[in-house]
Amino acid sequence: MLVSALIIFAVFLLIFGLVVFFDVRKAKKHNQKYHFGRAVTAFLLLLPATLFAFFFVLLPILYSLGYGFTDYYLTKPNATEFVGFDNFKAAFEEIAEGGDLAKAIKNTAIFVVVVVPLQIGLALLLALFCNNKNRGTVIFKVCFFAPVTVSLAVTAYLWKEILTGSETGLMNQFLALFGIPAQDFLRNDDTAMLWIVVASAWQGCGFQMLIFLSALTGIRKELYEAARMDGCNAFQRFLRVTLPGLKPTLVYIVITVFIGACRIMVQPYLMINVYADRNITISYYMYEQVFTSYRVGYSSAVAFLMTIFIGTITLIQRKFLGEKKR
Amino acid sequence: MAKLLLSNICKVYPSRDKQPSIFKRLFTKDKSKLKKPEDFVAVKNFNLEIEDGEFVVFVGPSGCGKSTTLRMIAGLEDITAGELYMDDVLLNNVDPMNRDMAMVFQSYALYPHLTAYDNIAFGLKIRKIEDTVTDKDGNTKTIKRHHTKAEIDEKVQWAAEILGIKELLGRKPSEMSGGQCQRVALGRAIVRGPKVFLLDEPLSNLDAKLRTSMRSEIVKLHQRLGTTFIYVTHDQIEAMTMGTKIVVMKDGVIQQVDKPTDLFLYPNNIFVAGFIGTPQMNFFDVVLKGDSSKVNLTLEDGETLALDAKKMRKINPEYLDNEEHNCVLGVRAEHLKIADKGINAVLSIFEILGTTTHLFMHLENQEKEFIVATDESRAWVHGDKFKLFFDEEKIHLFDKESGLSILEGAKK
Repeated sequence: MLVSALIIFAVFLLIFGLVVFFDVRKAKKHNQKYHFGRAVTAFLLLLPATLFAFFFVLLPILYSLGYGFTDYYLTKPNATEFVGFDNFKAAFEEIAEGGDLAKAIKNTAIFVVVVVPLQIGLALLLALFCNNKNRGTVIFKVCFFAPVTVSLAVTAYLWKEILTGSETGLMNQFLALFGIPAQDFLRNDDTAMLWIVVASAWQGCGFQMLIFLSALTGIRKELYEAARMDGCNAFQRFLRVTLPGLKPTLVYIVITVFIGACRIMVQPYLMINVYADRNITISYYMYEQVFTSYRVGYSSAVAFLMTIFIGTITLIQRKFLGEKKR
Repeated sequence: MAKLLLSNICKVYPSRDKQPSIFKRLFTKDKSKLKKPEDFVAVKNFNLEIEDGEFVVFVGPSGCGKSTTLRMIAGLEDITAGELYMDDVLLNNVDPMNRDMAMVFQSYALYPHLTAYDNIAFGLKIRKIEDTVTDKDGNTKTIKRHHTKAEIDEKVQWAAEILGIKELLGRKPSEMSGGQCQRVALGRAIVRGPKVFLLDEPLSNLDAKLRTSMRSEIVKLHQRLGTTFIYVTHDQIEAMTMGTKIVVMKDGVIQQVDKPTDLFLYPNNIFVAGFIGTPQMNFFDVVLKGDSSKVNLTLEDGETLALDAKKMRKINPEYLDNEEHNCVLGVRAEHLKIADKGINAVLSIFEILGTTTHLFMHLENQEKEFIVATDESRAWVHGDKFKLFFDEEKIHLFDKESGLSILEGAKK
């Protein structure tokens, strides 16, 4: 471990060296004096953050990638051997055979496809609702933001209690008012994921609402007035002034919500409490592979594939949604 | 054709201060101590008739209600009381989009994500136009349709040609200077061919040189289009050089509505007299005493000016009763002449501006300064004493208490 850390750190120093080397060449080309002292100062100032990112972000990623090529078994760490692409092959085979991983991908895909527009749409609606100076708006802002401050585990338990299958559940008591018999929402294959989506969107949208609100205040009032004079109705003003004004924020929110949604794990894990077809997601699957089946190597390979997938989709989103360079 | 009539227009903003709490109201014995929030009256009884094709300028200091009035005409502010008519149609509750007016904002208000072309074309793309079509049976009927691409392009190119911005059409607002942005904003307004143009301090963000050139371009545009223009500014030079009719406002109240020259020559009150003209009109507190033939004005330092009433503009007979009346004498800097006889004045400082020189003087034993504008060029020395001559025909007299002019106004 120490040796590999030192090797990677040496690579980092090499990168620093290369940066200095190319900077010196560039300075010479433009007949400018290269201030080596300044470069060293800059690198020294960068060092704490770099070290932090290195030890807590890059190193774990590289280790995880490394494990993906081994048969690392949690209970037998000393018997680890290099197995090449076997883990990746196994993952693809499981998908092809329609195993748990295939179900996890399907569930995660459903979750992402529904929760991203739902959560962002809800956040935008709430932000538009709260974006005025009327008295009392602040109360709504606090109410909508409150779920963000509560722990995921707590809200998952809260929703579990609301949706519990017994007749004492809040939702079932409510349905009973209309004579509808008690339902077991979280054990039903058709509705379980739907309620996980609802709980996630409800908890997450407050944060995005806040970001949208700050972006909305950045859109100048005169633009709306100009649009009114130009003949736009309220919906056209939203389409032609608000949305373009929110575009940079929207891109950021789409990407972050998408990445967050791909990693969904806590709600399906805590709200349903059973590893079942209806609630496995990719993260839940990886967790199960490590802590139930002890297959760290295999799980790392799946994690690596997932990272590549999320990265690719994010790049595509940036390309299509991002600001076009002139 | 667009004739506007503003009848008793008022705008009141409710106070943002909080009412005293219910406990305070219940337990304060002396109710007069409870401070009630007062509403803010931005515009008060605004009456104005604007003929078709006029270039009307609303001018006044900051906070006088000129922009509020313009925004009420545009429909961006509600009218608290009074009526606004365009061609005899009541507009009070008509949405801005249906008023057929175009507005140019101080901050240009160009859509930052659109190019100059798309900014100009924006209104055309949104609005529908009426068109008559003939169906297979030969019946003609009126339909509403959007402009075609070719129509939009033709109009945008026409506006760009007039404003000289053809080469800017592909640029976004962030890639243009303030003057270029303002031209695009003007283009966006003219391209729709509205009945009325509303311009809210459109030149305030430009530098002095650009402002002068844009000023003449807007006047040319008005002459070319022949549409009604309503222009808001705090700059009296803009008002004087551009408007065919000027509305001077203060504290939400119209002070005077007149042609530029009449406003300069025959101000209704001290405010208008002081606001219009550069440098500002000089004011002296005087005591007026006289009859229909001779008028004596006694200045604060005791000097008396004997004026021939027949040479002056006609004075309100109430003041010609041989009694003493407290008045304010107003004389423009260019109407005070250095002469052999007249009132004694001392030179404090001077500003040589090229063709003219501004002499800052004060009466002997008085500290209050006034300005004399002279074409004379000589070696001015601080503390030099001069005698100043008043041109009787060009002096202004105001009642000290009411501030209103006691001289006859322009013959209409």
